[in-house]
Order: sequence, then C-alpha cells, then structure tokens
Amino acid sequence: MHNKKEACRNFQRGSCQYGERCKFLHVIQQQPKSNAFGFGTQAISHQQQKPNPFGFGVQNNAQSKGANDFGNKQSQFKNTWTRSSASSGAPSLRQPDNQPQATNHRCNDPESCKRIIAEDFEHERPLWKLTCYSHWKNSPCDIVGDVSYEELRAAAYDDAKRGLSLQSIIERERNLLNSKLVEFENFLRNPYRGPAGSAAAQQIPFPGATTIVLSPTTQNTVAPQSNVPPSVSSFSQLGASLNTGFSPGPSVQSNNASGQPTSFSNSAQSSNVFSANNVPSANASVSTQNFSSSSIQSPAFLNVSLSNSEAVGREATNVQLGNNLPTTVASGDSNIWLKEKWTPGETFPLSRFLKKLLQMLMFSCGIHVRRITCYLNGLIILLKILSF
Amino acid sequence: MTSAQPPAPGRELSNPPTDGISNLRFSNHSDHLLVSSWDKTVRLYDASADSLRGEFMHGGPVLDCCFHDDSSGFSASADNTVRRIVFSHGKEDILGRHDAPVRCIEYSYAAGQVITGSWDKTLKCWDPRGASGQERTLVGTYPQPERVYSLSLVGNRLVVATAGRQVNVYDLRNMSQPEQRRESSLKYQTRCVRCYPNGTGYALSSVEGRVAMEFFDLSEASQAKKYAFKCHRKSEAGRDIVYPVNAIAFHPVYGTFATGGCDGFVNVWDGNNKKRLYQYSKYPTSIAALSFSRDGRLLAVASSYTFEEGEKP
Repeated sequence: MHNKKEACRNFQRGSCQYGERCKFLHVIQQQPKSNAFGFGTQAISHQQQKPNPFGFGVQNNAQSKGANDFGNKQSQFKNTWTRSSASSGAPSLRQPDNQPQATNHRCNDPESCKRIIAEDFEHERPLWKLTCYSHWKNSPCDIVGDVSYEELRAAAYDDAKRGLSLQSIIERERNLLNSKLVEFENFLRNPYRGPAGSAAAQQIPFPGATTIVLSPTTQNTVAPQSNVPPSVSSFSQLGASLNTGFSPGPSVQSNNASGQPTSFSNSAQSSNVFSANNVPSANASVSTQNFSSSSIQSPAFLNVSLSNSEAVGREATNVQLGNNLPTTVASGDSNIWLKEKWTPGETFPLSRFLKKLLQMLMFSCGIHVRRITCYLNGLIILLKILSF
Repeated sequence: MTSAQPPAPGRELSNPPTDGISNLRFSNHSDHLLVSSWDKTVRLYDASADSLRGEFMHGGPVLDCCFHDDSSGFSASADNTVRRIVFSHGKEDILGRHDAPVRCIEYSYAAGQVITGSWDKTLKCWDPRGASGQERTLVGTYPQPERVYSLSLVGNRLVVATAGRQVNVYDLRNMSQPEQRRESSLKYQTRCVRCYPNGTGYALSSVEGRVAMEFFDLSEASQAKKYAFKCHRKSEAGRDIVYPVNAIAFHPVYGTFATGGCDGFVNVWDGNNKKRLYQYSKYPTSIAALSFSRDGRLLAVASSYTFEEGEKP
C-alpha cells in the first residue's frame, strides 16, 4: 500500500476522483500556483462529476517544458505568464506584436511535463482522436495536424460522390486515425523530440477540396532517452529528406544525445504549426483500447495504406517499431472505426450486418466494444448514401 | 428561466432535414429558425408555429447559416460558395467563393458585412449590398494561421478559432491585423467559440470536454478571472470518457450559457458563479448546435445523426 507521502496532484487541482481512497496525500499545499480561479481546492476534492461546482479544469500547474537540458527538477510552479502588452491600463487595443497569452512555458522540469502528458493521455483522452495537442495551455501544439469532424465528413462525402467504395473510405479514415494514435504514442514516450525528421507531407487521399495537410507521421528520430533502436538514425535521415518541403524551422537532425530540447524549444516558439512537428507518437494507454496491441505500435497497415513518397519513411518506421499488428486487426479496426460512430443502442437498419461483422471481429481481437461511443457522423451517413 | 426546476421536455420540429444538421440559428427579429444541414439544404422554420417556411437547395452540404434580417439570410457551403438567400422569393444567389469549403459565416450588424471563415485558411468579408459577383462584394481577405473552425461576433469584435488551437481576435473596424493572437488555453482541438453577449470575452470549447472562459481585456485583473471547466464527461472506472463539446450558446438576457456535447446532453451554466444550473435529458445522439431565441425563451437544440431537432421553452 502506498505510503501517502506524496501530495496528490489531482487533489490540488481540484479534480481527484479517489477521495478517501486516494493513494496520495490530500493536502492543500500553498504552492505559488496561479490560482486564477481562487477556489478552495479543498472544497473540490472529489467527483468532478458533480454538477456544482464543476471541477475546474485547471489545466496544469506543472512546469514548463525544458528549453534546454536543465536538469534541475524544481517542482515549483513558475507562473510564466508574460504579458507582452505591458501597458497596465490599456485594455486590449491594437497591440501589433501581441502575444498576450505567451506563457513562454519552458520545460524546466521535463519529468513533470512528461508526467503531465502521461496523465493527460491516461485520464483524459478525448473521443475524437484526430486532434492537436499541447501539454501546456496557451503554448503551441505539440502534436499538430488536427482534423475536425466536418472535414472528415466532407472528405468522405466527396469520396463517395467520386465513387470510392465505402470500404476504401473507411480504410483511409482508419489509417488516419491510426497514424494519429501512433503519433500520440510516440509523443508520450518521447516528448522532447524536435521536429527532426519531421512530418512527411501526408498525402492522405483527401479530396482536393480540402487543403488539409496532415502530418501524423511517426517520427521517432532523436531520442537519447528513448528506447528506440539505432535504426532510428537511418530514419531520421530519411525523414530529413522528406522534410524539405516544409518550413521546418530548426528541424534539426538532432539525432544526437544533446539536441532535442533545443530543437523542441524552437519549435515551441515558432508559430508555424508545421514546424512544431514533434512527432510524438504517444499513447500506449489508449491504443490498447483500440488495438489491443503492445505498446510499441507500428500498425502494419500503415505501410500499406499510404502509398506515396512517404512510404519510404513509413517503412523505416516499421523497421524500427516492428510490425505487431496482424492485418486482421486492421480490418477489425476499420469496423471499430465504423462502430465508433454509432451511438450506443442506435442502429441503422442497413448496417445491422456490419454491426454483426464488427462484433465478430471485435471478439476475435478481444476488443471491448462497449467503450466506443458515437462519433464521426460522416461514416454513418455514408453508409446510408452508399446503400441507395 | 432559472434553476432548480427540471426543465420541461422539448418539442420536436416537424420536417427535419434528412441528413446531419451543421448549424442552426434563431433570428434576431422573430422566432424564425434557420437550419443548415448536410443534406444540402437550408431550411427556415417558424419555431413557435412549428412550420417549415422554406427550403433552399445548395450545391453541396451547407456548413453554416445566419440571418441578415427576417427576409434574407446567408449560408456557407462545402461547395466553396457563400450565398445569400432571400426567403420570401425563395431565391438565392452567390455572394462569393472561397478556395475550400466555407465553414462559418456571420453577419455583423455593426459593420454591415458578412464575414466568412473557411478551410482555405482565410477570413473574408463581404458587403451584401453589392451585386453578386465576387469582385464587387468582397471587402477583404484576411489570412489565418490555419483552417478556420469557428467564428463569433459581438459588437465590434470578432473572434476566430482555427485549427492548431489558435485564436485570433479582430476589431472589425480595422481588420488588417488581429487585435490579439492567442493560443487556446485548452489542450486539444478547439471546437466552438462564442462571445459573451456583454462583449467582455468569449467561451472556447474543445474536443476534450472542456470549456474555457476568457476575456478580451488583457489586464491582470481581467485575466485573473478566466477559468476553464470540465463538462460532458462520463466517468467510468477511474477514467473519463471525454466527449467533445460541440456547441455553446449564450442566453441573450441572463448571460448564462448552454453547452452541448457529443454525449447528447445539454447543460446550462452560470458563468459568473461557476455553477451548472441544470441539464436537459439526454438527446438521442450528439448535439450538433444550439441557439437561443432573441428573448431567450426558446432554445433550439440540434441533435444530429438521427436528424432530430428539439426545442424547449
């Protein structure tokens, strides 16, 4: 049993769900936190499920990501809230170079940032996977390349209009999802990768209408502290070559031990979404939910799906990550994908057989269907459309 | 309408669209409701009479709509066009085009312009009084850092939420550059942004079941008031199922607001006291859009997937 010597982070944030049963100590530490909320964190110790008061999503009081290898692990919260609009009285009027929310979050304590990330991924993974992510509020995205549901739906509709079969549409979406998940997972494992070997211009066969360029590649380059095998280096070079198309900023090749924090910090500051291409591919925790596979994923079908220049990159990825997933899971996943959009209990008559198929596949892959809830309206509609 | 009483169940409008609803709006002048949908139509309903007053076909799924006045409105469509619809004559004409599907549209009474945001990473302002044709109606094009996901207007301020969690605040009187450029204080993709009716700030919602309340005023005092809260989550064995918050709507009179998420619930919150006032019973599927009528008496709730639409007093 845990010794209760550590303070419960969640409790301090006002969102500990365990209450009495919590393994950590529920103390109100007067840390120099920016309690902008000013609400007694003690009052809100449990259940954020209570209607009133709602658990304040105090985003994170943790530290900043290390710009450089600091190595000093101070656990003090630094309120790095900088107001570049220094004018005290002047409200939000024309301030040209204004970054009012630039907290200049510096990851002084990489460990705790990593913890934040791990916690976020474990407790609060959103249902919609194709999202961008930042581990610190008000800072630029760590994982970029998000897609909204409407875009996905529009793409699916367009594809359907062009006569693509439902299966291939689903396949494409599934691949998108998977690569994004892999990216999250990598990020979880190695949050300090720079944009090295960064994002291949994903050519997800999106219809021309949308100008989405997604970069959910799995770049596991750099990484002294990671356990990625040395084949990484070859990949990073590959990645580098693929990278030329982008405005990579400091897309350092940092294949070496030192580099990554600096490249990362640079990326953190660049406003260009794509140069902040940390390719993280984090997420062991969630992927198990979907894929029931081991923590290091590199879904075999990634290789199959994206048939373009970055297939090269992909293969390298596969090399390093190993192909664990059998292709059956792949098809199972597509059905998961399908299934994901269904509300619990709701069935469309024409997709009943698909549901059965799904369930069969699910069972074969040992995946729990129950947790997957409604989403991605586009696909269901698609089913309808294509059935006509 | 205040708290504590269980809200009366809503009334469902007849003749709903046949495909998902992308957005719905009440008019500022009457109880007309404009609904845009993925079935390529924009429908005009009279909410109190529960009747369909008009249906307008488009070339592609319609992603957003707004009223101009009681006789005309605008729509933003996935076939890259921005159209003006005249309800009485049932006519529509194209106001202009983007290079990619137009995601959101707003009409600014203060500036007399139509503002549209699109996935081609631009914001365009149009003058609806001009004749059709892009050259004559386009007032300006403003590049955005990323694809535009949501827009909201209050008074002279425009808040634009884009992909990559960026938020730009513009002053409509000077659109040459954003008044403020911010990153979202939420960690995940932004879903919806709405300005407070009193013009002091905006609410931002994300795909991870959180809503952030922010303020325009950059002084310390105001920024200290900002906060974020979690909502639309279901707890299951230590982990939350986190639903995206799709829609926010502010009550015009009370300043309270409603949020709708993919879990099918609509919650009404009091922003100042930071409490939830009540929660409506679960809708069949996720909430796609919310809108309050001009006097705040009615709340229109669009529940997509099974394409219903309900309203409540």
